[in-house]
Amino acid sequence: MNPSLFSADGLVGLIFLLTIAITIAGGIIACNSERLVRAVAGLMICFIGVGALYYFLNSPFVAMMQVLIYVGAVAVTISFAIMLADPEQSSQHGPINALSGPFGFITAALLTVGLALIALKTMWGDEPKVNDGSVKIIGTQLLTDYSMVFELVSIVLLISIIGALVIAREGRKS
Amino acid sequence: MLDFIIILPLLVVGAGAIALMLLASMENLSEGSTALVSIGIFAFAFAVQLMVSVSGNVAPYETAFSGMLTASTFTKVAGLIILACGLFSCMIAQTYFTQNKFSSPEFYSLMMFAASGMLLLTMAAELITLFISLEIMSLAIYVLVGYDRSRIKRSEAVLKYLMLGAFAGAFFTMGAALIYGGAGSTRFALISKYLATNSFLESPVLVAGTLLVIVAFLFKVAAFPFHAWVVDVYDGAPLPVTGFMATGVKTAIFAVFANFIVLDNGMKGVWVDYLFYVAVFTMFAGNLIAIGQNNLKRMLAASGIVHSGYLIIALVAVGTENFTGGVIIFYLAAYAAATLGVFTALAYLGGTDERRDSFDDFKGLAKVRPYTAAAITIFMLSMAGIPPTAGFMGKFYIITDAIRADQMLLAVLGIVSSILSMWYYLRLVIMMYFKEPEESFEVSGVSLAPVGTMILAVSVFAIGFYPVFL
Amino acid sequence: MEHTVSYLVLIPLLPLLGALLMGLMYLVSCKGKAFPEKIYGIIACIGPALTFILALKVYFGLKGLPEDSRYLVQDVFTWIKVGDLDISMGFFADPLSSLMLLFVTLIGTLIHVYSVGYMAKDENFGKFFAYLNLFLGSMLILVLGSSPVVMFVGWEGVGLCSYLLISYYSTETNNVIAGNKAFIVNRIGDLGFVLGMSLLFWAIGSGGFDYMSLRANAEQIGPGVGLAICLLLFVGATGKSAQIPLYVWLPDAMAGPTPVSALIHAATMVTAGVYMVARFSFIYAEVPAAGTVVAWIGILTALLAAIFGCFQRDIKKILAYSTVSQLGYMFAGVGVAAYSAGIFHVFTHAFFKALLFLGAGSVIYALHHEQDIWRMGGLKNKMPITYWTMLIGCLALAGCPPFSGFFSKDEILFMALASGHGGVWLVGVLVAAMTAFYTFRMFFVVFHGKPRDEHAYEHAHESPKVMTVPLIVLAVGACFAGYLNIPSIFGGHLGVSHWLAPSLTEHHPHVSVWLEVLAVATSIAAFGCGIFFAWKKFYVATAEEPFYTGLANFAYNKFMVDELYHYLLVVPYKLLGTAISKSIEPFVTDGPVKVVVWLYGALANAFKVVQVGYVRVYAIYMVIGLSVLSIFISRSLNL
Repeated sequence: MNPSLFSADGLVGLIFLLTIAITIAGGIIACNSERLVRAVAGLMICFIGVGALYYFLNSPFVAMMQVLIYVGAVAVTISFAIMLADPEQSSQHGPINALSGPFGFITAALLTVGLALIALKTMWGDEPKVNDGSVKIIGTQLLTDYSMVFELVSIVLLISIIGALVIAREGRKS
Repeated sequence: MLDFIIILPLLVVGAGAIALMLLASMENLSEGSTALVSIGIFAFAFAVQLMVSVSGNVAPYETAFSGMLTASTFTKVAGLIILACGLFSCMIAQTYFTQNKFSSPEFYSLMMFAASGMLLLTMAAELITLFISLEIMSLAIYVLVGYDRSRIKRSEAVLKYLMLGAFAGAFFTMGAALIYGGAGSTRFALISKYLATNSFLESPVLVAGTLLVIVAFLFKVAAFPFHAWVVDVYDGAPLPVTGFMATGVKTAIFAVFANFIVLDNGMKGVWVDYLFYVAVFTMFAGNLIAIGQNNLKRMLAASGIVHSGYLIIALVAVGTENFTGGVIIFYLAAYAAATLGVFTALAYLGGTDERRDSFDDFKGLAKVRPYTAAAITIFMLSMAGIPPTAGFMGKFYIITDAIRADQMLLAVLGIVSSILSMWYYLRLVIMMYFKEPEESFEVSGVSLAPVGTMILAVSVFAIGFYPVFL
Repeated sequence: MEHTVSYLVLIPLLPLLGALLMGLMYLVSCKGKAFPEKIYGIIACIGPALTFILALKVYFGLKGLPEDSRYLVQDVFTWIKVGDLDISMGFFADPLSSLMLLFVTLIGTLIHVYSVGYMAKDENFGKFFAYLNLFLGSMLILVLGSSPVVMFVGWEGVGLCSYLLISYYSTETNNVIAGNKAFIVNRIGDLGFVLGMSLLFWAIGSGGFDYMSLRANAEQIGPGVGLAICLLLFVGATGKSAQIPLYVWLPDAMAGPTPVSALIHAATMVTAGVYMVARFSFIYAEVPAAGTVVAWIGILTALLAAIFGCFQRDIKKILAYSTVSQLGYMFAGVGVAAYSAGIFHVFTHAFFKALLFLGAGSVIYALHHEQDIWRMGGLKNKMPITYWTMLIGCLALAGCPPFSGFFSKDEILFMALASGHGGVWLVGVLVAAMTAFYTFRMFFVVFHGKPRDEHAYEHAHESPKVMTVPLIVLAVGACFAGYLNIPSIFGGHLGVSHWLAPSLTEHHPHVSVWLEVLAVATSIAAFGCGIFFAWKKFYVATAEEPFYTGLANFAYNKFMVDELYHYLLVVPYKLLGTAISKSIEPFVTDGPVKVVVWLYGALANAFKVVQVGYVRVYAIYMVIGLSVLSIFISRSLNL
C-alpha cells in the first residue's frame, strides 16, 4: 500500500528525498563554483547530506563522526589552507582542454554504470548485524582486539608532525 | 611473547627512527655519521629479522595480536628484502648528500618509519591494520619525495603522488568497508572462513569490495591503468627515495597483495581472469613508455611498471593451497638487487643536482670507470633477464609457474615482453661501451655507494645461484 | 648406503675463496702500489694445502667404511627445481673421486709453490694466483660434483681458467690467439657434452639426476640412445682432453706460463675427459660399441701425437704432444672398458708429466725463456737437480720399468689385448716405442752434448729451492706411484683397481699368464727399441737438428692439420657468413626486423601522448580503469 504523504512513514520518505537532494546539490556546487571558498561550502553541504544518509542506515555513530570530522575538521582545514594560500594563485587556471568537461562526464558516467551494475545485482537482504555500532562497543574493541592498530595510529600522527615540521622548516630556509 | 617476536625487527626500526631524531638534537652530529648510524640500525634490524626467520615457525601461518598480523616464511623473507632495501638506500643517501645539500637527520628517520610501515604491510592480516600500515608507509614516502622544496620538480612530484595516493587510499577504505559489510569481518582469517562456506560471486558487495582493494594495490605497484603517476614521481623524487620506493614499496605491496589474493580459491579464480589482462597491459604499456624515455630515472620507473607486470603474472599463477610465495619473493629480491644497484651507481655518478641523468650522459663510461660500467651492465642484464643473473632465474620461475598454472598465453607474452625490454636496457650498455667518452666522470667525496654497487653486483649472481626460498 | 658429511663443500670452497680474496686485492691495488708478492704467495698456497689435508680426510673417511657403501655426500642447497629437474648443489665423494682428489690437490699444491718462484717479479702476480686458485676450485667442483650438472659447472670453470691462463701474457697477439683457439675448440666439445647430458636427462633423468640414481637407472637406457649419449659425451671429452679431431688447441696452449701447462694442460684439466668417461662407466659398460670408438680414437690420437712429437723443436710442444699421446692411451684404456687402468694412468701421468713440465720450466727459467731444444745442450752439469729429476720423469714417460709410467701403460696395453682389441694393442706398442724415442731425443739434446748457444749456457744456473723442492717431491711420486697398482704377475694385487672397483662398472677378464707375460715383454722391448734409436742418433756431442724432407717435413708441419681445418672449416664458414650477410640478411631478416623496430618506436612515441603530466588526467585514467573492471566483473556475477 502507498503510505500517505502525511503519515509518519511518508514524512520519513520525504526527509530521505530531501537529504539526497542536499547531497547532490552540495556535490554540484562543489564542482561548479568558480571560487574555492564556495566550493568548500558546497562540499560541507554534501557532507551533511551524507551524514544524514548514515543516520537513515541506522548508524548514528557514523553519522555523528561524519559531521564532526568531515564537516567540522576537514572542511575547516581546507578553508584554512585556501586562506593561507596565495589567492592570486588559486585563480590561475592551467590550460584546460575544451574536451575535459565531456571527458570528465563520460568518466563519471562509466563509474556510475559500473558501480550501479554491481549494486543492482546485489540481493540486499537482511544481513545480520555484527554489532549495533554503539560508542561503547567501538571503545571496547579499540582497547582490546584493535589495541595494536590504535597504537599504530600514533605513529601515523608522529610521521605527520615530523613531515609538517620538516617541510615547514625547509620552506622557511628558502 | 611470540606476538612480539615477530614484530621485533619492526620495533628495532621504529625505535631506531625515534632514537635518530633524539640524536639529531646534538649539534655536532655530522651528516656522514647520521647516515652511518641509520645504516647500522638497518643492518641490526636485518640481523634481527634474519634470526626471527631462522628461529623457525610455530605454524605455517602464525597469527599475532588477535589476528591482526600474520607471519610466515613469505612475510619474513619479504621483511628481509625490505630491510636490505632500506640499508642500501641509506648508502645511496649518504653518497647522494655529499653532492646535494638538503639533508637533515629526519630524512633517515622518515626512511625508517617508511620501512616500519612496509614491514607491517607484509604482515598485515586485517584490513584496518593494512590501511594504517599503508598510511604509515605512504605518509613517510610523501614527505621524502618532497623533501627538497627548493626545486619545483620535487614539489610537482609530491603533489601528484599525494593526490593520486589519497585517491587510491579512498578506494581502499571504501573497499574495506564493503568487504566488512559482505563478510562481516575485516580479518583475513574470518573473511576466508566466510568465503569457504559462501560463494564469492553470489555476494556482489564482496566483489565490489575486493575490486576496490585490489585497485588500491594495483595503484601502489603502478599497474596499468593506474601507472601513469609513476614516471613523473620517480623522476621528481630525490634519488635515494626513488630507489627505496621502487624496491621497498613494491616488495611490501606485493607481499600483502599475495596474502590477500590467496584468501580464497574462488575469489582468486574470479580475479585471475582480470589480472590476466592487467598483467599483459601493464607489461606492454610499461615497455612502450620505457622505450620513449631519454632520462634514466624515468626509464627505470617505466621498467618498474614492466616488472610489476611480471609479478602480477606470478600472482596469477600462485596456488591458494600451500601458498609459499617463493617465486614472488625470488623475483622481488632479484629486482630489488638490480634496481638498487643501478641507483647506487647513479648516486655517485649523478653528480651535483643529479646532473647526469640521461642515456647520453653515460657515453663511454666503460672507458673511464670500467668497474662501475661492468656493474651497471650486470644490473641491466639482470633486469633484462639474461642468464646467469638472478633476473633470469626470476623470470624463468615465473614463466614456468605460469605454464604450470595453464597460463600458456601469459607465459608467451611474458617472454615477448622480456625481449622487447632489451631495447632500453641494452641501450644504456651500448652507450657505455660503444661510444667515446666526452667527460671524465669525476666524482667528489669518499662515499659508501660504490661499495653498495659492488656488493649488489655480486648478489645479483649470488641470488641467482641460491633459490633457497623455493 | 651413503654418509652425509659436512666438509666436502670446503674442498672447492677454500681455493675459490682464495681466488676471490686475491682477485679483490689485485683489483684494489691495480692502480696504486701492488701488495707484496709474499702475501699473495702465502694466500695462494694455503688454500690448496688445506684442500690436500681435506682430501686425505676424505680418503681415510672412505677407507673406514665397508667397501660397498663408500659414498660421502653433502647437499649444500637445492639449486634448480623445475618439474622433474631437481638439481641440488651437492658434492659426492667415492673411491674414484677421492683418488682424483688426492693427486689434484697434491700436485696443485706443489705447482702453486713452484709458481711462487717461477712467476716472481711478474707484474700481475696477484692476478695469476687468483686465476690459479680459481682453476683449482673449479677442478675440484668438477671432480666432486654430485650430478652431471654440477660437474658441468666445474667443467666450464676450468675451461674459462684455461683460456685466461693461456692468454696470460696478453701483450703478444699469438698468445691471445692461442687462448681463443682453446676456448673455441672447447666450445665445440662442450656442445657435445651438453647435448649428451640433456639426452641422458631425457632418457632416465626423471628418477633423479645425481650419479647414484643415474647408475641405478642405467639399465633402462635403450641401446641406440645409450650409444648416442656415450658418443656425445665423448665429443665433450675430445674437446677437453685434446683427442682427434679437437686436439689442435693443446700444443698452442703452451703459450701460457709453464706452471699452467704443468697443472692445467698436463696433470689435471685435460684428464677431465677420462674422468668423465670413467664416471659414466655405468653407461659405457652398457654399449660396448661406444667403447670401441673411444678406444680407437684414443689410440690413433696417441699415434698421431707421437709422430708429431718426434719432430718438434720447442721443448714445451714436445711435452704437449706427449700429453696428447698419453691422453690417447688413457682413452684407449677406458675405451676397452678397463676404467681403472685408464684412471690409474691419469694418476701416474699427473706426477711424471707435471714433473717434466716443471723441469722444462726450470730449464726455460735458467735460459731466460729459451724454449728451442736446438739452442740448448750440455745442461747436465749446470743444473744437476733438474737433470736427475727430469731423467726420472723421462724414464716414467717412456715406460721404463720399474717407474710409474711402466705399470700404468702396461696395464692399459694388457687390458686391450685381454679384451680382444688386438689392433689397439699393436698400435699401442708402436706408440710406446715412439714415446721412448722422442722423450729421450729431447732429453739427450737438452742435457747432453755440447752447448749450442754459448752465451745462454754461460748464464744458466740451477733454479731456486722453491722450484726444485716440488721437482723432487714429484720425482718421488713419479718413481713410486706405480707401486700402488702392481699386477699379479709381479706379485702385486692391483691395489688401485680394487680401491676403484665400487665406483666403476667393469669386469676383469681372466686370461692366461702367458698373455700377460707377452704383453709385458713387448712393452719392455718397445721401450728398449725406442731408447736405443734415440741414444744412437742424439747421444752424441755434435748432434744437430736434421734437415727434414718429404714425409718427415710433412710430419714436422704436423700434417698440415691446422691449415686443413682452416681451409676446410674456417674459410667456408666465413664465406658462408659473408654470403648470408650480403644476400639473405638485408632482405629476409633485416627488413622485417627494421619494420618491427620502426613500428615499435612509432608506437612508443604515440604512447608518449598519454603521459601528459597532468594529475587530473592520471586520476581519470584510474577511474576509467576501475569502471571498466567493475563493468566487466558485474557481468560475471551470479544472480
